[in-house]
Amino acid sequence: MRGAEGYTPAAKVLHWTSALLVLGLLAVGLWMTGLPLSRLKFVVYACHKWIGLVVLVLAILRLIWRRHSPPPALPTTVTPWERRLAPVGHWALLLLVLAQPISGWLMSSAGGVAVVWFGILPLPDMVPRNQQLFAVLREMHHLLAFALMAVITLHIAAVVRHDVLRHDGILRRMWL
Amino acid sequence: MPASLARALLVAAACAASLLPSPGGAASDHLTIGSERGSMDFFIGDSLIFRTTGGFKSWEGTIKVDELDITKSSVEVVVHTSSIEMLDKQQTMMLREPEFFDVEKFPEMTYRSTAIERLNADTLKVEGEITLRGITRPMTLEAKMIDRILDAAPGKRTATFRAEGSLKRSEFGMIKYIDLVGDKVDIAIHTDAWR
Ligand code: HEM
Ligand code: HEM
Repeated sequence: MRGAEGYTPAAKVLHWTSALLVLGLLAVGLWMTGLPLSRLKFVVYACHKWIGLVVLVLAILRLIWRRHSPPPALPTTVTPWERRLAPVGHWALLLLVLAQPISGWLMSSAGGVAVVWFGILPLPDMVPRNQQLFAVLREMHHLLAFALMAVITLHIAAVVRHDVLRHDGILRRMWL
Repeated sequence: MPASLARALLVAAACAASLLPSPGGAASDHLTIGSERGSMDFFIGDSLIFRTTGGFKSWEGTIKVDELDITKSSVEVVVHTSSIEMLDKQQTMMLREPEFFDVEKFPEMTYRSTAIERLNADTLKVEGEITLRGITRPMTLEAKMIDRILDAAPGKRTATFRAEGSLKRSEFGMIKYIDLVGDKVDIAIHTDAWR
């Protein structure tokens, strides 16, 4: 069932849970910054951070899993330029999904807010509190979010192109 | 032995017996501390959903040092509440509002020591009263000397301190978001003292 057939079940579970969480975090992230300071805002920010860090753990697991069990070879219907572009796109996604929560954690530390993961596990501060650093990291988290949205859009467009227009079964390789 | 070295050793010996430096052995001394050469930070929310930090950017105080009897020394600090600052603007604004520091009505927060006791060679226990939002409550600070300069000239740093204490904000009527953010506030002061 492996090889040219499709991704391993572990790769699929990791892909779809992080895909759902990332799409949710992007939407919640864009919405929450505009909220007036309130009980809701505190809770939403805390959840955004907690779940963002879950994505970080999933991304690391995914990188480890990829070494253990590399992605299946692409079907022969895929053209040479697509064959070169696909891994670049996937690496971009993997790196962004790693960089995004790390920048969030750094920003939070620089902003003087220590994260207590799910209210239970106090996490260390990655950097000391610092006004300038906080501003830079906030901007970085913002820019990375937009880069991530751009690459995800291309990613989904590529899947649609393959499956809806060409019926070459790319989605099935990752589908559950 | 050169005379200057002998004098330095004498002064060092005299000062080693007491916590604070003095100019060639004067019995009492007035030192100034403040935001000009120090920081006052607070930490809130331990073990709840997050722990957050802020500070006061404008405050000043005086220390009256009695070299012979440290228990006769005293400290007074005035903090300008509107100088409160979190790195997030929204939170800074919130803390200035009537539900928190109410900076229009209570522009100052003050601390006055009532008793000072030596814990060890460089640590003092300072008992005192803090007045915040018009409410006065006892508050204990533990002050540790981290550095001292013997015979510093007037206006120059003669010592560096770190003082820590904590309070419950609910005792001062600041109860908003207490279930989320927590009640206990730790305060850390790091300051130079100068004559
Ligand atoms: C894959 C994970 C994550 C994604 C996709 C994500 C996405 C976003 C987005 C889209 C925003 C809005 C940006 C803006 O409008 O400027 C945002 C804001 C924010 N994120 Fe994340 N985030 C993630 C992880 C994290 C983590 C792990 C933390 C902290 C530990 C974090 C902390 C924050 C904070 C504090 C803000 C608000 C910044 C502000 O108030 O301007 N994020 N995030
Ligand atoms: C929600 C819409 C999404 C769909 C329909 C989708 C679909 C797919 C498919 C079909 C593949 C397999 C491509 C192949 O056969 O080589 C794949 C791979 C991949 N996707 Fe997505 N995806 C989506 C969202 C996301 C998101 C949001 C991310 C990033 C967080 C992401 C990251 C990746 C990565 C990194 C790979 C490469 C897999 C690996 O090597 O582990 N995908 N996706």
